Amino acid sequence: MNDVPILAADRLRKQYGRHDRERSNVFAVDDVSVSLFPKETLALVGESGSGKTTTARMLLWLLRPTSGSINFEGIDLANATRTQMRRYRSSVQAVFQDPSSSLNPRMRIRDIIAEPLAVNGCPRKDIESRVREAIKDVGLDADAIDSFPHEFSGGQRQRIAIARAVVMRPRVIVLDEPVSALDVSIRAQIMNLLQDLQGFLEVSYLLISHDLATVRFLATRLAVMHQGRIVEEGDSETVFNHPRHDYTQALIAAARFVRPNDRALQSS
Amino acid sequence: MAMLAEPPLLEVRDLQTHVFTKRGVGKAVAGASFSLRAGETLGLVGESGSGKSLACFSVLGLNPKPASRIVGGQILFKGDDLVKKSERELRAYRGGRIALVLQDPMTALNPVFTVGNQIREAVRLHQKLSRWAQHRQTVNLLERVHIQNADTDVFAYPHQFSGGMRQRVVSAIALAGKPELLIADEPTTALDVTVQAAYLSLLKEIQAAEGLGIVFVTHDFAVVARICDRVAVMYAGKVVESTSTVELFRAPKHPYTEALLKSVIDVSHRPSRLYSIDGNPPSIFSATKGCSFAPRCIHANAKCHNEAPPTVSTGPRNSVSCWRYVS
Repeated sequence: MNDVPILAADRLRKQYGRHDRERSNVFAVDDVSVSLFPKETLALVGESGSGKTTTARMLLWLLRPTSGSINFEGIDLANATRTQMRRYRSSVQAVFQDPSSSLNPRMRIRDIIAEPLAVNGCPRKDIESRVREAIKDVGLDADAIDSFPHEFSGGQRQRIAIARAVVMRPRVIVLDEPVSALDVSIRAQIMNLLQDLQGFLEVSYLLISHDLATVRFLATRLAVMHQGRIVEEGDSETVFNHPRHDYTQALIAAARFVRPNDRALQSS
Repeated sequence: MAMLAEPPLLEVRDLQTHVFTKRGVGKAVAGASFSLRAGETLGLVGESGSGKSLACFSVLGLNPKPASRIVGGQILFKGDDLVKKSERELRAYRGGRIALVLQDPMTALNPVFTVGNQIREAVRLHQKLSRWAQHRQTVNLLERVHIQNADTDVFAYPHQFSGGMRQRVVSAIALAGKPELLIADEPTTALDVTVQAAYLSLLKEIQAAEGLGIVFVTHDFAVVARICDRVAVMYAGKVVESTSTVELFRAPKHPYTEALLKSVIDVSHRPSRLYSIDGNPPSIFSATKGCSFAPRCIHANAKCHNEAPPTVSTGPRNSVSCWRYVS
């Protein structure tokens, strides 16, 4: 395997609380270390309150860890120079759960997708062609470029959010519950798209999800979180087939799809 | 055939609920039919916008007004047509004979009252009891939904409870009026998977004890497989297939049902590619001539695009709306 992680968290902890009071001893994230390697999909799995989103937000540097460090290409973000931070910001992109709140309703699709390019100093003459390319990448019609987000369905909007992430040709995309807000028949379209994009963009995904079915399809590696800690980590195939931790076993058992015919067989 | 003599607990016939907006009239529920017997669980399955929630709200006359109106069809509860009932008459049904559980327990519960207070309100509205008896009944309801320490938790506020506990409190409120029919609109969607399983077995347990009929609105086939006896699949405001759960998974008839089932991922093995249905569901404002699924259907032919398919009976209680089954 590739031995150098692109993005790594080392002994991350996050404690929420008011500054004027003594802090409680509850850590939202407690001693979490994860590494994301090139071209892989690492899934952080857990139920609500397990700390998976807090971990993701720290890896996106949207939230400062209470202790521990985040390393991008071997550089500690806490001590990174401006240039290094810029490189990190453009190489690590994110797609969030609900596209109707992550897209600005007053911006046209063109401007939504162009914004990260403009911010990161892409030459103006290249912007239009790169936006068009991103729109094509995610399977949207070319004439979508002048529309507003409300003119699209949920699935199409999520494609726009993905286009905004891939337009930078990032090395890492953090996917925070990317299909949870979508309908069943649309979910599969978006998951196939994410898989295809990973193939030709050679990007790593950090997938945050509580839905094991999504994780089963997209992830190559799994880290199961429970009460702020990683309780089990491993290759996706191994964890699904031979879960070791009690919590992982319970999670997989609950998600297993029991056909009624099987149920009838079991009880007889 | 003594069984046929007994009317179903709920029978919805060709229900049409339209929404009236600036964009025009939307046929959100466009002729939906389904039925349910006492003690049975019917899964109403469909994507968002398929009209499944609105159909359920219509049963209780709780569809948003004046934005929407029931413009046709019948809703027979033990043979009585609820569509014809006045608002006052309907109040006797709401919470009393037919109870409703909604998706998000945090919005269903009032954050400034204790859970006991909110359950007692329902008890008081439906039964004439002394204050002490009301309290006993409230604690009893909490115990029935497996809230440990019901004696003390009756004084707790919703925020002190976890998501699963809150949903059980909502169920306790629903049970307070001793209903015969429970309509549950995606009650597990906001819950974690492990909590979901526990909630579903609680529902089963209550159903077995009370002989409740349950209409379970969901888009999740894993939930359908766990709890439903029968299933009605909705698409674009219509029920396109009605069948038993076993039959649904064994041999789905409607191409939409088949496609939906194929796109379900089973965690026990990893597919290399997911089956997906191309396109999007139609807008409720667009007038469709033929079958509403035709534009996305792999079997569609000219007839499907031009003429709406009839509902064909495929078994004693099973039916499907598709030209492929018209002989």
